[in-house]
Amino acid sequence: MQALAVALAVTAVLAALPPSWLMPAQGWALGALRPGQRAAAGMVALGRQVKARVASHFGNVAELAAARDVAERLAAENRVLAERLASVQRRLATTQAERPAADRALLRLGGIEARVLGQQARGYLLRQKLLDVGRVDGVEPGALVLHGAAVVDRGEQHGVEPGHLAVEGGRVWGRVVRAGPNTAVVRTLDAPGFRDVVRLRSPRGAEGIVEGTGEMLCRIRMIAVTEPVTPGDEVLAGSLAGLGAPLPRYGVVERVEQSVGAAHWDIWMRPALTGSPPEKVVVVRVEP
Amino acid sequence: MPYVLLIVFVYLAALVDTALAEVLRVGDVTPDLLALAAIVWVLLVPSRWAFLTAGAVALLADLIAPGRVGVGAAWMLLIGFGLSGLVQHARRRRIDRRLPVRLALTAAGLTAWCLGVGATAGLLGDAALPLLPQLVRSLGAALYTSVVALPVLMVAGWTRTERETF
Repeated sequence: MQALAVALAVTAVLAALPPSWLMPAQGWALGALRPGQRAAAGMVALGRQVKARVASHFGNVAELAAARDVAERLAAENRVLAERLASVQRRLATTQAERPAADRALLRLGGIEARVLGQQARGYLLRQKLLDVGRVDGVEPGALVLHGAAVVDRGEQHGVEPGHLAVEGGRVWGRVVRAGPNTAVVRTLDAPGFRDVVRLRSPRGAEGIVEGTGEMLCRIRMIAVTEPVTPGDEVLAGSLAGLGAPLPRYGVVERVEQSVGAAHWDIWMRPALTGSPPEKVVVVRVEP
Repeated sequence: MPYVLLIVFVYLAALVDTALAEVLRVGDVTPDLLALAAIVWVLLVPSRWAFLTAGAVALLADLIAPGRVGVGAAWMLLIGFGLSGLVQHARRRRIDRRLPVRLALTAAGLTAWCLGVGATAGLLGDAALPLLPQLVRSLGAALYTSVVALPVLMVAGWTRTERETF
């Protein structure tokens, strides 16, 4: 009991002392703990790193699982869409098959892409005796360089035949006049001797004949003076009408004249495709 | 030997109280392992002067904690003295080594000490909180430390049993 009283008295004295008096003792106690505190802080930091790594690992696993879910869902949607597409295609094919033959177009337009051969290419083909058009159809080398004639690198083996129109960008460039197995000669629109059926303004417009004159302007004949014609009217390729495709353009009416007492207009047309020959053309043909 | 263990345990407890308090915090409550060391010493050491050692440990806790030095030691001296009497009473009835008894005595001692220190700090104006919240927090600390005391008392009981068996 006496020891308790003495100890309590000591603590009472300590409690009553100014805090600054006890600071050395407090500093000693805290200094003794400092190494251990540093070690403990290191362990805490290590533990936090480990915890962060574990959390990151589980986070990545969760993200991976979510991404797999999304991928599976997208794959399922993809399958459904593919099935729907196949179903629609089957239905379309069935509808087409059941469609009355009268509703289907009898003919349609097809195209054969061809490159227009330049002077160098023509010379090379002639030297190698590869320019079959000349051999087969008697076209002399000199004829190939005449104004109004050109050679393309597609022939009968590709479906090109005399009479097919050569078109570039919806504009008529010329007509195939001779076709060999691998090449063909095209007579351009403005060349003398070129003739084709045309229609004015629309596929159902007045029909006439366009002729190459060797000049810049071509001539359109056989359009009755009873038909209204004005400069600026579109001239379309009438030979390809009725096939359900937009008609290639020949050009635009430049000038309209009427001779005294004549039953037909004298129409002059500016070709839509002028200048240097195009690099590529499409040879238009009618397909079943 | 018991004093060596006490020094080691007190050092570790001081480390935990100062460096790992944030890690062990539950809400606003942290355990007070130095107080636990002092009370367990009173319970386990059959000496009439054990309360003095407990007071010394509490004094160390006062030195490394903010607040007035000596208050915790004074309360620990009083509580240790009272616990010594209770332990001797339990020893006479041969129930002093039972875990529930030890746990109850530990919890009672911790609760009394925490409430005493909290009330004193509140009355002296040393506490950051008003008196009632300070007492609630002290009660929470006592409860938390009592939970921590359970494994400590179990280990102490097993160690003592094995030593007596051999």
